Amino acid sequence: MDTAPHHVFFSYSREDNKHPVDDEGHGWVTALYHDLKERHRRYSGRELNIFFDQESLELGKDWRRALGAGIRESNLFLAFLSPNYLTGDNCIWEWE
Amino acid sequence: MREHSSARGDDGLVPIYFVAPREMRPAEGQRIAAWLDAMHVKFPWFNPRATDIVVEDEQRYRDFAADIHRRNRTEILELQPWAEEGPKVLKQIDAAARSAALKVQSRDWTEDERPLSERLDSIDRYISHCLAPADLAPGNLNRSQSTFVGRHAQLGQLHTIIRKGGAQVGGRGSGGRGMIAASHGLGGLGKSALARQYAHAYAEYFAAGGTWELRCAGETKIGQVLLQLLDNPDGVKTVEREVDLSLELHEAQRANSSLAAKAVVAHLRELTMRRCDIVRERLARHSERHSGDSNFATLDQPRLLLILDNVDQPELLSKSQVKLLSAEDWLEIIVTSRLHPGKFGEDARTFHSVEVDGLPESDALQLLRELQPEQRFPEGEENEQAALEIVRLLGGYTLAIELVGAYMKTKPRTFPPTRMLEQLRTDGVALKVDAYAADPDVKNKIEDEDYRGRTIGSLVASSMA
Repeated sequence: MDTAPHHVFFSYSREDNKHPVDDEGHGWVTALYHDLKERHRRYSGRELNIFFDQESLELGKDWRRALGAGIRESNLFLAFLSPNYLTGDNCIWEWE
Repeated sequence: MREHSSARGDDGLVPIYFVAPREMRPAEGQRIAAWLDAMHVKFPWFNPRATDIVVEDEQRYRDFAADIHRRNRTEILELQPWAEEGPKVLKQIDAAARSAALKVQSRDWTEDERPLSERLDSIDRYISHCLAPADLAPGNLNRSQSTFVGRHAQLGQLHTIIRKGGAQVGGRGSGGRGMIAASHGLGGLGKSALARQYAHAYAEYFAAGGTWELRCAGETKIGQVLLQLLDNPDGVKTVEREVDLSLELHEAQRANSSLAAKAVVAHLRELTMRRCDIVRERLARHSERHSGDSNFATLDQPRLLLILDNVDQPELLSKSQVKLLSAEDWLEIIVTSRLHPGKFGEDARTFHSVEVDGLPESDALQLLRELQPEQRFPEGEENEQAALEIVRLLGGYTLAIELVGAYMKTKPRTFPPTRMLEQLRTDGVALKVDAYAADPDVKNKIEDEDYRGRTIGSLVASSMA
């Protein structure tokens, strides 16, 4: 797992990220993740460090503890509000 | 979320940013329409058209909605749309990180009392930084501004202006052109300091051409201003010896400020392009020492930053003078001025203004704290409270805070915040600037702002007017 402090924590429902929205087959959360990083790189010349569970969690780790650490160390919390988000246990846990 | 906010050190309203999916599945919608309408009333930016939402578990949804309302009522959090606010905040975070890195660099290692391993790590990071693009930028600015605090939003605005470049000039795209102006026309709010902080914090963008400050008070000709770079070599402190600013001008060029301006600008352009390869070569030589933050893509476009400081004659930015500054994207310019941007008329329309006002209370308090011995107030709740009262009394007026802070620093035993507050409330006018301007940063600022000889009483009076 990336141990550097994160600028943004992505809190989303995986259900919302299943349908591809670009030519590379990314769901829209993943597409936004790449778009945001690229835009910040162009603006700042530096990496935007986003806690995104597909990139930031390692298999076999205690994911809930890792998520908790990610939330605490992030500057911003970005919630992807949707019906799936509002009804998902894990999303609500992150929100709490 | 409460844990998140406390971990970040926030103790007020916590912004939570949100986005909503672009495509919602078609819809039941009815039973949540009322909630969406209520959200729209509370947050006008919330899009009530997105009513085609399917919610399987109505009770859970209702609980969630009620939770948001409860938290907002108790002012724990505030939902904000990402599209409007998020990117702005990211720019401020970037600026804050860059300013914090500058403070690390200016640390005095000999007085560092941390464990040896931590000190070695810090020194290693410092050496890495010295080999990064930022520290290779030549220039005539002082090396650091150890007491600069806050202004992250303005730093982000300046970088947006510089990075995007200016409007079309003479049919060509120009470099970025920013103007730092005081919102109330006052001096001493920190315009020049902001320009210098930008130059230091984003120095990697100017690794090739460097960052150069030119004093413009009373000047009406760009040519005369640019000649400072050639005529005052003792005042030019360059990081590297290979930066050669010497340029012999012909008699005719000396006599005609337009010709002089063209010659100097051409010289600076050549310097910027030539040094780009030199910087790349130096960086490649030490590639193993660079931190992950360093990105040499900033060298893809060689840049030079000119700070035209304290422009007080609108003629200096008239059409005939501005066109002498190259309309090419290698030359970035920041103007500082006490004049309102409107005073410069349409000729200066390519300069995008950034307004500077008094420091916010929390930043003003931090500035006063950083000016104290060991960067902390004497112990006691009464001193913390008195310090807060002092910055309120000074209205966030940067120069006044620095003067008061420098005075307290020279007499920490006899002038704790409680005593200083009492003094300011009774006879602040009796304190002479010269008596407590020993701090080099403060002294420079006083000279820069032409405030020598004035009393703090008049400064305080101005800030409270």
